[in-house]
Amino acid sequence: MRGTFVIFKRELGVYFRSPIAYVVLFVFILIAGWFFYNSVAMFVLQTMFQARNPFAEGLNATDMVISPMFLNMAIVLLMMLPLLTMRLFAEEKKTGTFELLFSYPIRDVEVLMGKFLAALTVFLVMIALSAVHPLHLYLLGVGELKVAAAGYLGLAMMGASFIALGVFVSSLTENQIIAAAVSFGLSLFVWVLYWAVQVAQPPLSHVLEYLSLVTHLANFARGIIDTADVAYYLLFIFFFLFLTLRSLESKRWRG
Amino acid sequence: MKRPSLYMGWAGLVLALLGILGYAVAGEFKGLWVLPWGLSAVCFAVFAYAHPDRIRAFLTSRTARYGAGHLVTALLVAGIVVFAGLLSRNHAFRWDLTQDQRFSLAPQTVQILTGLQADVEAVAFFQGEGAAKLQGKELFDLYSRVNPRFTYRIVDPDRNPGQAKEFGVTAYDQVVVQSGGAKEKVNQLSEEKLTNAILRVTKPGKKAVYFITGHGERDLKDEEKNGAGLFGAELEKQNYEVKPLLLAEQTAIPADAALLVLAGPEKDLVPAELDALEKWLRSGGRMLFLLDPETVPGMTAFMAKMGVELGNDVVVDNASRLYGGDYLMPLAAKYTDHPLTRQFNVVTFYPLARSVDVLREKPQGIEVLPLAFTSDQAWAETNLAQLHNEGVARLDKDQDEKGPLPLAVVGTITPADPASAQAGPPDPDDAKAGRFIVFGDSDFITNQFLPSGGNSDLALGVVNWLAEQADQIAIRPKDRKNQPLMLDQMQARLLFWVPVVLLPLFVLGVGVLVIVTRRRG
Repeated sequence: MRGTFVIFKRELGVYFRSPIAYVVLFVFILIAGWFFYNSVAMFVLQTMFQARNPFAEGLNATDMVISPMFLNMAIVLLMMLPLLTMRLFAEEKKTGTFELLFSYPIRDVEVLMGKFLAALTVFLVMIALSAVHPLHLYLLGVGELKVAAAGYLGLAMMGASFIALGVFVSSLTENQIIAAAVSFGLSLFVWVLYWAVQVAQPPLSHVLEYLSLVTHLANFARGIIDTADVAYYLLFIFFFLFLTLRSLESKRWRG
Repeated sequence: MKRPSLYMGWAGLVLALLGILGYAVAGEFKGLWVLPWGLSAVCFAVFAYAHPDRIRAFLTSRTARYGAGHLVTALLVAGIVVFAGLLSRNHAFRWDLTQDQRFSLAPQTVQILTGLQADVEAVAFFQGEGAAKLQGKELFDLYSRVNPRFTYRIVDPDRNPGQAKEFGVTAYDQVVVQSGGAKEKVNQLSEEKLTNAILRVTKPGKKAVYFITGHGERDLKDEEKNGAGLFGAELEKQNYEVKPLLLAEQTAIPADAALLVLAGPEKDLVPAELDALEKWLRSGGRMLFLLDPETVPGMTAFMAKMGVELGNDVVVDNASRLYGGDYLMPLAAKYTDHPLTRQFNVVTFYPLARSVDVLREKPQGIEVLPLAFTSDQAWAETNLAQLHNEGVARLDKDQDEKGPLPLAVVGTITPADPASAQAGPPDPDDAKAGRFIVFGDSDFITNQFLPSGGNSDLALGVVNWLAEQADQIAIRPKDRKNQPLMLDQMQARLLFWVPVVLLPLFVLGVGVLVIVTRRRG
């Protein structure tokens, strides 16, 4: 446990004492802000169109701004989280500190958890800053905070899944660019698995739909917390952290 | 220099991979596709014979031992993960955090679902991957989550026209709910309709439709062209019980009657019978009147009490010729916007029909709407003597009314109690109100004409709507709250500045501050 904390502090220091965290945060919050501004502006525009129509209905800020916001942010995260995770193990391998790391009296699992939690923390700061947006909307009198809270829970779990996947890929290579490219490709692939749902036949299509990262997020984004979706993300994270641990341990017995 | 037999091991591996690849592509294990497998086996055999020491060394090496162990644990964990995933899916619990509980079922639905005694299947006919399918699937998932006895199947009617035909589906997005032998078709899927359909197909007992007899009405046992045997059979297929009712012998309308049909009487009903019918209608009863021209003059006064004007005429329609019909066979291609005909757009034929219109002065508590119209080339011929004697029909501008003429009207009677009298005009879809529909023709349900055009669909739709049970469950659709957003100038500016400029600048500022102080320190 103490080992986890030591590694966590060290990794967090790397992120926050170098420009990495700030640049990633800045880019993310700028893009997320731009998405948010445009979708609210669109909403206001539609309000004005509908003001002329006395039978207007279905103009809802939760449906039109808040729910899409999570899917938009998820796309940005899909591209940015591999950049956060790529260095976690690959850099240590490249600079030769990898062997040093394992000469400390710290267990593999503690190293892994420390690094995973550090990347997770940067990510949580990212999305926490974006929480200004639904609050902003709420202060303007529209949007549901409870739905936003569910959306953030889903987004956090999906991001954690991306990070677990990224950590695993980073443990396989000593090249950061390869780590980033492969984890981006894999995340994107798991994301778009549901495209095949329309083509596949029932038993397979159900499996694909379940495996796809984004179908689960859609529930959260609309304000539904389903234990099956929570379990999906937790299992996804667990499985990739487990694979990372195996990959780290293989260092000990592979030449 | 290695001996060539050393390469046999590698060759065997490559050939085995080729074999797997070949099987994956071809999908069969015969003919040429077996070749790489055979060659690979030969290579391995040669290698094993020449170098038994190498194989032993590999199998006992650290890499092999650890690798195998790791593979086993990895597979084990993967199995556990899959199992846990399945478990979590089958025992899911969900919270709906939306304000109006939009993604939850109404308590009435949950109650009905938990009390299900039989398996219920919904077969939904959605085209492609549209929004209708997504919404339908979501609704069905909610239902089957409450009770797994509810299952569903989505069929694309374009890809499986046979199934669509088997279930009698005529339009996209129709859903057939079935349980045991009972079937119920649902148009325009909603929670209310689905729940009511489930309730109906699982309820023991059929709805009784009584056909009044004793005045020369169409006979439901008659298989000849002027009989209505076909219509009776269609109704029985739709889970109705069809019974005759000799009104003169009865003191009251049977309690189990969901609907009374007066199908083309030739002689007038006696006043006592009419009184019974009026009482039945006013107390929430349902009736279908099919009244041919030049019959039952006594019905004119009765219908006037219901707010309906029976025309003493015969509708002449030139447009029918286009369809190969007689000019005395008007067709209706235009229908009112009514729950019954909203999705109906097929031509229906009414051989020898009279016009049926809404009376200008409506009696209180009765709402009457025209239901189906002729084309505008039709007129209501009132000079019947000339029509019969000379066989001539002419549009007399001052006597005959010109089309489009209503051929049928639909009426809703609010039961006479003071509470609902104040509630304004009756709702056309109110399930508790009395309902009646009047057609100026009975030929269209005969064996000869029922299969023409949309006649059978319309007739069954009419019966379904009329016989809708008063105990049906009302579930308010979950319309989203309308939340318009208007911004004043300051708010509009802040909306741009806060997310796009100030927040990112804040992050950048903190970053610069930290880096600069670190460089100095």
